[in-house]
Amino acid sequence: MSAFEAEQSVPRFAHGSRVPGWDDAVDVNKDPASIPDPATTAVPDDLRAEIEEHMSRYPDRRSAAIPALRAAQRRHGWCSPQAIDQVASVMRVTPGYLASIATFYDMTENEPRPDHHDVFVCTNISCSLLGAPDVFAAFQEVASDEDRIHVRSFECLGACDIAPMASVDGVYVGPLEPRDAQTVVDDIKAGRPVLEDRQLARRPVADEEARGA
Amino acid sequence: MPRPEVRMVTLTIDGREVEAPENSMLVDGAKHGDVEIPVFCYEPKLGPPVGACRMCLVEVEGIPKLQTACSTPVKDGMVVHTQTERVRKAQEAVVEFLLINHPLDCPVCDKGGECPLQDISYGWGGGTSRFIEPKRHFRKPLALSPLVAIDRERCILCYRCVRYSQEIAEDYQLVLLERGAHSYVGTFDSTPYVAPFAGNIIELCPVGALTSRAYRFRARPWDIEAAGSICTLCPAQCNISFTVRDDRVLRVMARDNPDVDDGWLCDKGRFAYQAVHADERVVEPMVREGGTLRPVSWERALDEAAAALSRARGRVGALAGDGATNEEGYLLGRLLREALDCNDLDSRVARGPSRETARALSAPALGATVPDVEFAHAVLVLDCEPMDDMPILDLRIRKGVRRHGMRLVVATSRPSSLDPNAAVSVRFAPGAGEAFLAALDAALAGGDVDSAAGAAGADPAAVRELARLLREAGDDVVVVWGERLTGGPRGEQAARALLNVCARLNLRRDGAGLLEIPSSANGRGLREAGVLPGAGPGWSEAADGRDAAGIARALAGGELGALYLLRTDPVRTHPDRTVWSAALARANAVIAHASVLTEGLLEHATVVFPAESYAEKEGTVTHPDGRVQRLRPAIGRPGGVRAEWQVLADVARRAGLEIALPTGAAATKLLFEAVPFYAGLSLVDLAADGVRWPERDAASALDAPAWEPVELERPPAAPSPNGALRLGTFRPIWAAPEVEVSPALRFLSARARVELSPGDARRLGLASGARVHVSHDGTGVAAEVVVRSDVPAGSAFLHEAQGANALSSGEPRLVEVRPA
Ligand code: SF4
Ligand code: SF4
Ligand code: FES
Ligand code: FES
Repeated sequence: MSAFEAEQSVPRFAHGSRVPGWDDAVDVNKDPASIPDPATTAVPDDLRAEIEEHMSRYPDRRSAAIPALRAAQRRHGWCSPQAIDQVASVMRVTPGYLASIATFYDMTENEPRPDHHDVFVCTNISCSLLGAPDVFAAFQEVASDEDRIHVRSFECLGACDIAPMASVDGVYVGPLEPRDAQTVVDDIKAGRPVLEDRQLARRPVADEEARGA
Repeated sequence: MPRPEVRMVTLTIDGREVEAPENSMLVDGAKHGDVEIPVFCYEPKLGPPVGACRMCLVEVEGIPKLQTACSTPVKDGMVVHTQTERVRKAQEAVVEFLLINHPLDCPVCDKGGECPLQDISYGWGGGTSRFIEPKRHFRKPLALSPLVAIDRERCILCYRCVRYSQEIAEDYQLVLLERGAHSYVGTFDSTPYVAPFAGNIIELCPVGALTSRAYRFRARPWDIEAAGSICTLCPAQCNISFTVRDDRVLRVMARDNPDVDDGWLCDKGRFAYQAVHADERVVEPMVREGGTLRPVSWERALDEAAAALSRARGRVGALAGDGATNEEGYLLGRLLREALDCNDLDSRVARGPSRETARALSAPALGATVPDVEFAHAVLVLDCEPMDDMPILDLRIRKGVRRHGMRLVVATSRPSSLDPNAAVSVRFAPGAGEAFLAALDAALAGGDVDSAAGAAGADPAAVRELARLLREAGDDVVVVWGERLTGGPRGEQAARALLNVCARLNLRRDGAGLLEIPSSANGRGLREAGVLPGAGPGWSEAADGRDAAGIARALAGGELGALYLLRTDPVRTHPDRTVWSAALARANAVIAHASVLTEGLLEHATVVFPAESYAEKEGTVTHPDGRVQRLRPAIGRPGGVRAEWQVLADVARRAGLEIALPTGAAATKLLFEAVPFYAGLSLVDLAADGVRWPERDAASALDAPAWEPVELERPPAAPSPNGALRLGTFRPIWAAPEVEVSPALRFLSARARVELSPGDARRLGLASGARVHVSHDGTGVAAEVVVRSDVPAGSAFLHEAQGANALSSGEPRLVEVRPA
């Protein structure tokens, strides 16, 4: 196991966040967080390549902050201080800049959550019209005792064609009925692909090329 | 980009016709009609308005909704109402809203009495609130850094502090975390917000959320007085206001002068006032007796000093530096030249160009102002690090790039903190500034770039690119350069090369020119007052004498017998520390004006006069761009401290000079009479903002004819490393005795560090944090390694702290770096 894959060190704050909370002072003995020098910040090659690829797509490299953070999160499990330092070093921005972004958006994790599963149930217009509130309620109910399964409502996930729908660890499934909630939870716990027959990615399409895009 | 032309438009505010500059924001336009519109988030110095707080809502006829006056530009014929019922209600609502979670802290809040939130609540608030729910409560105050405390309950999320960190200081350390109602001001991973300009957020915060840990609970606004003066801790000479309570300085705040500091201060300027009242401070005259310095009476100290100097008549050297005023420099010159028949005096650390060339460099027509830096088409930062050498100029350069599209080019040995903002950065070997300029000159004149660039250890293609950019960016080019460029044995040649470059770029015009950063706070003023070998007041002709390095050698060799040190300790600040130690040890008498006993004085001074702090001083100093500024005493002198102009005059009188000086103002008058281009100035003219002498008629007294490019000598090649490393030294912003004795700042005191490139570090088997010995010819210093990827291979940069000047000399040299 390389140093990069080693377990994260114990988080510093009670809630495990990389940022002090409202009630926390800074640690005045630390060095201030300027842009980490590439000479002293080790970044896994593939992560670096991925971040650089994202940067190359925008005229201003800062625009790549979100995809770069997501890439580091996939690697580290969450936006840990080390993950943010690595992104900052490649992007040549301060870790503070990235921390403000990582804490702003919902899909960046600020705490370590080992073996954690996200179920985002869409409750926006199309899905609501087709019964999303009941689907959401069902999920809340069946997952109420599962502390590793995190259910929350979400705004339009851009898959209205399979409304009402949910995103399970990034996999889009739908249309859903309230009784599907139990199946989804069982699938997650068993480590099976969720609702295989109703995954957006497995739907037949006229143009197979489009699937890859 | 050149300054935009301002056109005035007419609008109506509250029924009155008002003339205001076109495109100014309504908040500012309204001031022209004496109408105040309340604001929180609006601060024009922070750049374009953000409209975050909604405090400034006003009614504009023709627009159905209320408008934020901070982000609505004035237009010709606009009709604005700020006093209608609709506006009043909206403003009341905003105040009510801002106060929902704001604690009722005023009685225990450090901002109370000088708080915009209090003022606006009284002036525009409703006086009551409909909210009866409990407020949010958090632990407070918390440390945001060793210098700044944060109280998150009081924060109104106006974004000023984070905008400052991002857009002015550009350190991007202070950010808003989380979102919406959960937002709060913080940093990454609980790191402290420590940066050279971080303290400005204290003044920017419109509430008591950010407070100075050094000032908290020391005074209330009604206990204090503000006294305007000048910060003389570095050449930037920012305009400041001392907060004084019971004859003690408790705080330093900015006194916005757009021609000097733009309203910002660095943290050294903001917190080093503590040195004024430090225990380490010398407050009585002292004389060395039996090996130790002991306090004595003024009579005795003055007599001993005068006697020792008189004994060494004809064999006395003198140095001046630090915050010595023009008057003191002038009196020192008269003491040496007239009373003691000596010509060996210097205010520079290394020999500079000849008097003629130096005059050409300081010709008024070739001088650029600080605002010129902001509005130039292009700025070349040459052989200096503004962040360390003249911090506030760093902010001005950033502002030029960010707000006015100025093109920045950097040519330095050490990687610059301005590199990320630069269109081109060129690296040359430490000490090879002359060769770089020769290459640039060749590139501008279409000559042979390669050989000079080779001698400089610079990339010829990058030099060509830099030259192209300077040529094509536009007419207004400002060159910001550091004194070290023309210091040392080849200073004359470097200065000529610089003048060639100026001539080729045609910099003798308004809005363009040179801005030199001298190596001491009043370097320019001391030179103009005549503290130079071979140049008297106003660069007049004077008998030639030894420069600083020559004085050291002559003392060590016994040709000079005594040394007068006006606010400087060469053992600490001058190159060749070992030579200086030997020189001071050999001298029969070392007479020093000092506020702290630094190493050289502690060991070798024979008479020490307690120096005034800058808060006690009166007199004038000259800013690097020629602005003569006035120091005003804010507090009385502690203990037995006497005015230094008076001490100099007393010594001079005892040594036989006939000089009558009833007051400090009389000394200023003598100075203004002695320096031809200061002629006609008076303390009254200097008022609060100072006067730039190059803009006055008397400036013609120094005018030099336009420089015609000359044939340059072939510059010597930088030594090739061959396994060793080229030594570059630099003085970090925190390397100052004031920082070391200020309790709040002590944690920042410069540490002995050496910066290496990753390749060299690997070759030497060193990692960041390793302890090493950096040596040359058997002399060495201990340092801690910092590996930086932007350091060019083959160079090592040593922070000038804790004796690092043992290794530096006026000339480029190679060093060995070995694990300690
Ligand atoms: S910030 Fe101003 S309004 Fe708030 S508690 Fe302090 S003095 Fe009062
Ligand atoms: S800390 Fe002060 S300056 Fe910063 S956002 Fe809060 S109120 Fe504004
Ligand atoms: S509304 Fe649910 S996916 Fe669009
Ligand atoms: S001052 Fe106008 S919105 Fe804040």
